[in-house]
Amino acid sequence: MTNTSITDQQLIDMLNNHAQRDQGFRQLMRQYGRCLYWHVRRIVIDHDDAEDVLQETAIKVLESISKFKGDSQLGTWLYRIATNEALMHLRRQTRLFQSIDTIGPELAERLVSQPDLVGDEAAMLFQRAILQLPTQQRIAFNLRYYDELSYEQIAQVTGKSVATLKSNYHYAVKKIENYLKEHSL
Amino acid sequence: MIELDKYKDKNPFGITDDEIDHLVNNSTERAIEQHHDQRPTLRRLALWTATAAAILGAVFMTVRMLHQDTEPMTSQSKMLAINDLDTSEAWLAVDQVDIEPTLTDAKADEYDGPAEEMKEVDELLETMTDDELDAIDYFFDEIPEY
Repeated sequence: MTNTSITDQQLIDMLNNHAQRDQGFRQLMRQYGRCLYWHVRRIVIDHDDAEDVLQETAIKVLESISKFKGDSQLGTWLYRIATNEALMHLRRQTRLFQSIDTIGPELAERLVSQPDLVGDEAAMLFQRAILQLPTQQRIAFNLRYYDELSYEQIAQVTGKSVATLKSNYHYAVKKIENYLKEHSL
Repeated sequence: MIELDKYKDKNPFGITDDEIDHLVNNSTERAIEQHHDQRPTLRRLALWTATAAAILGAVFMTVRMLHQDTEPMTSQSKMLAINDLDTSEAWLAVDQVDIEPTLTDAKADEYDGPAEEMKEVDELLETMTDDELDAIDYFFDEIPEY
């Protein structure tokens, strides 16, 4: 997670104080906004889609902050909302009666067609390797690999058990390695 | 074994931190604006809900009252109603309503009209001669439907 200039508890106190809510929300987004953007972008790939999902996430956070009981960390709670919004966005793009996992190849095509793409060939291949994973494995891998969350934190984000997530991450790494080997890297 | 860590810092998407900050800031302000816009809407929604609940409550009470007025009378309430009438009106009313006293119907015990009639018949039979009684037996024997 990002370095915080004020603590999560101070943020929560500000958000629960009617007079300080807007200020607290701006501070919250300053501290977590980048992480949330990248998390969402890695799920939906397209920049415009990521912007839409981030917008929906921000609205959802502001609407439901009063319900946050502090049972989990503020960061994992935000990741959870962002993950749900991103998955809902993907489901809307998935054809009727099709699994959300079938959208992987389409996301790989979107990756290539991104106008702001600057990565080298190896970085691109690595992203494609990630996109061939089933959605849940992909999210578990991203949260562990890029965001460096603990399995306990990922469990709070995804609602899966720690054992399942360890298994997801293990298989994700194997699949990515196999994909990279097959493509001569 | 392929070392995956070397890919971690490679950002193939090209977007800079400043651009992300700008995007996040826009999303934040739009969310705040939308949240403020929703407050009057929520108040209006609460007012509409309260009004709708009041109207539904009034309709429910009216329907309930009408329903009570048209509810079939119990045998007890029939008897109470009949007791308020003159005797002649009462017997007319008895003809018109179907009184079915039940074991739980306390008022039914007060209805001893048939018993009184049977007592009178018994007294009359006691005063009749044997010939008269034979005549009555004959009458019932000859006309089986009675």
